[in-house]
Amino acid sequence: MNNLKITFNASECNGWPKLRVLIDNDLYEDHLFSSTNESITVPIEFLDGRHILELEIYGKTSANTKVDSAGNIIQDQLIELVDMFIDDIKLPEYFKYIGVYKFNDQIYPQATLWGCNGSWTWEFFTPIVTWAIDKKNDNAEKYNPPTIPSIDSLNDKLKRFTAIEELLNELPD
Amino acid sequence: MYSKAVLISSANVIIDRPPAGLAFLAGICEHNGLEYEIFDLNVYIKDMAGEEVWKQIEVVSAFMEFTSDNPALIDLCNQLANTAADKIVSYNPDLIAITSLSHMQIAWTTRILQAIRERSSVTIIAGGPGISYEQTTGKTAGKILAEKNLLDYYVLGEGDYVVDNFLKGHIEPGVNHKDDHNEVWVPQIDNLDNVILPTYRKINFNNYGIYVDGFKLPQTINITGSRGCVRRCTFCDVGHLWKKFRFRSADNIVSEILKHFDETGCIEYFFNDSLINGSLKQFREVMERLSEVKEHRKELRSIRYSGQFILRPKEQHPESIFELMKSSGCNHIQVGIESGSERVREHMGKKFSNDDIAYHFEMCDKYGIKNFILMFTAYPTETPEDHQETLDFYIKNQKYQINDTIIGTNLISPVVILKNTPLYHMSNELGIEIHDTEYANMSNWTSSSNPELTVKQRYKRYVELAVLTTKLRYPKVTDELVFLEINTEEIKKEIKRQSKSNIILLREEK
Repeated sequence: MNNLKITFNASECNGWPKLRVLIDNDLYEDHLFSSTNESITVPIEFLDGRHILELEIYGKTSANTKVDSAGNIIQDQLIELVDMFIDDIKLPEYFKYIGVYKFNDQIYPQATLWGCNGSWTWEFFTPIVTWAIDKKNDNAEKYNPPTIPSIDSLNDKLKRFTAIEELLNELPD
Repeated sequence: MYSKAVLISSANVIIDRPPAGLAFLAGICEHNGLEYEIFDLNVYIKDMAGEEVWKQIEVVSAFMEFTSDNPALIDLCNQLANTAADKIVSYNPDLIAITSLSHMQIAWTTRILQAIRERSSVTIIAGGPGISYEQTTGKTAGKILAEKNLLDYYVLGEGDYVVDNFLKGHIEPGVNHKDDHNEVWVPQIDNLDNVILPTYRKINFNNYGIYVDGFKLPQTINITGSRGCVRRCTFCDVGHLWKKFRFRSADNIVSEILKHFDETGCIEYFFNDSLINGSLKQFREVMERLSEVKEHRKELRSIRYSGQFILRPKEQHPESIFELMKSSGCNHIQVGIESGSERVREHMGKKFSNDDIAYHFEMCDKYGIKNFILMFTAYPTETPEDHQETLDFYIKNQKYQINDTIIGTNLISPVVILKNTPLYHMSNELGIEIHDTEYANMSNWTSSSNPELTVKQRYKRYVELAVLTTKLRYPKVTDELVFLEINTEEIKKEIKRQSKSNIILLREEK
């Protein structure tokens, strides 16, 4: 089993923000912030394949935003996603920008500072470590020649290994 | 004495950086004012045959002679040797100096010298660790080449001073003439600070570089900070080759890096020592000195270094070591973990626990130091449980690839029992019987103390590890499939030869 940890910076204004953590629409945790730096840890123990992590920001009202007489916000209830970790290994920065923040029917890709009730969704695949490595390699190859074989050639390699395994099994002990 | 030399580096080594042997010879030529040309046979073969064919050639020429079921490949090797010799002779040298890094280069050293001898009677001197290796016959590779009249002189041991004096016309002990009856080795040098520094001025860096961590490292220069090793790992023959561990002073090493930087602009350095942290005191001093010069000269701040590293317990490697590695520019280290099993590592003499490995990766993760993991499979004492622990090691540490704390691993072949290693000398104790002893013995041994570890089992474990590490995305410098597919027939033959039914049949025949 792997653990996905997400760290946040939160600010309070007449109360701390609230966050629901859902995976594939199942509620995993209802998190009420009580300090600036907090984190959530989600055990990743699912069938291999595609999954959606959803962080739902809820319960914020106009009382949680203070404005001055000129209409400038002087204090606000906010959540900022700082870092993501798999099994305590920090994911490269671009992983958090895969997520999409939605509120009031508007979509804000790459937004990691959340000030309105809405949800941030993040698509991932399991096994999550292998997925993260593939994602990192894909990103690196945008700027550099490939170092890791593509998935197609990986599968081809594995077939050729299987042929060798079969051959070995046929040989006498 | 001599007016022009051609300096050759033999083939069959990864083309990641210019051969240190060539730069060493170039430095001595320049020190003596001798005109010279550089010829890297490895690069020549890769350029002429292309990278894919070069990889196949690398496999067929890995031992003392070319071995392949593919006659076309052998023909190609012969053609390449002939055209290379034409080019070398066309420089009109009166001296050829050839360097061989290891026993794995001797097949090519032999072949290129044959081709040169067919064309010229130029004086030939050979050196490098490969020349000193003892062959199946009990003779050094140098002696065998001399008996075939393929060279005039060969150096056994450290050539730093004797090659310099050879160019001045003095033949000193350790420089063996082809007709000498007895071989003499150069006495080991105690003080490495006075040796002539190598030069890379004439070497074309564009010919070198492999993809290590997502980037091609085009300009990397080898630095020798020490010779010998503080460990005596059972599978390694360094202790035979270098009796004592000696190291250069931090000032001397950093001066060499600055010389190369000023001459070539190179910012990547690879310590080709057995271990960069063999002496912790010296390692710390080198890192402190490098950090200091980087502080004073801004243009040096991008200098990075890499090298082979021994993993040590936490008490010996406090966090400050990793912090200093980062500040001094340590890029990646090659770490011989060898097995996931503490029991196997204990037998190997590795002296670190699984907790030490976990601590090491945590520190490297924290300070951004990349690791290339060196591993074995099918060590003579390895049980199925030990093998499982190695599989588990790869699974457990896969996560470190996400942020490049682990940038790759090697699985070149199942374990090879080299002659002149503690493991080879433990043959009786471990019940190891080596059939038709070679210098490097891979398939041709059995162990009565671990009868389950048949040659078939060794290859099965090897394939299982290769499959797992491929699935887990571990990058590798060498491809196990190339090795397995090229050697399929040999492996089949050896498994059949060593099979229980065959042994029973042979006994019955007797």
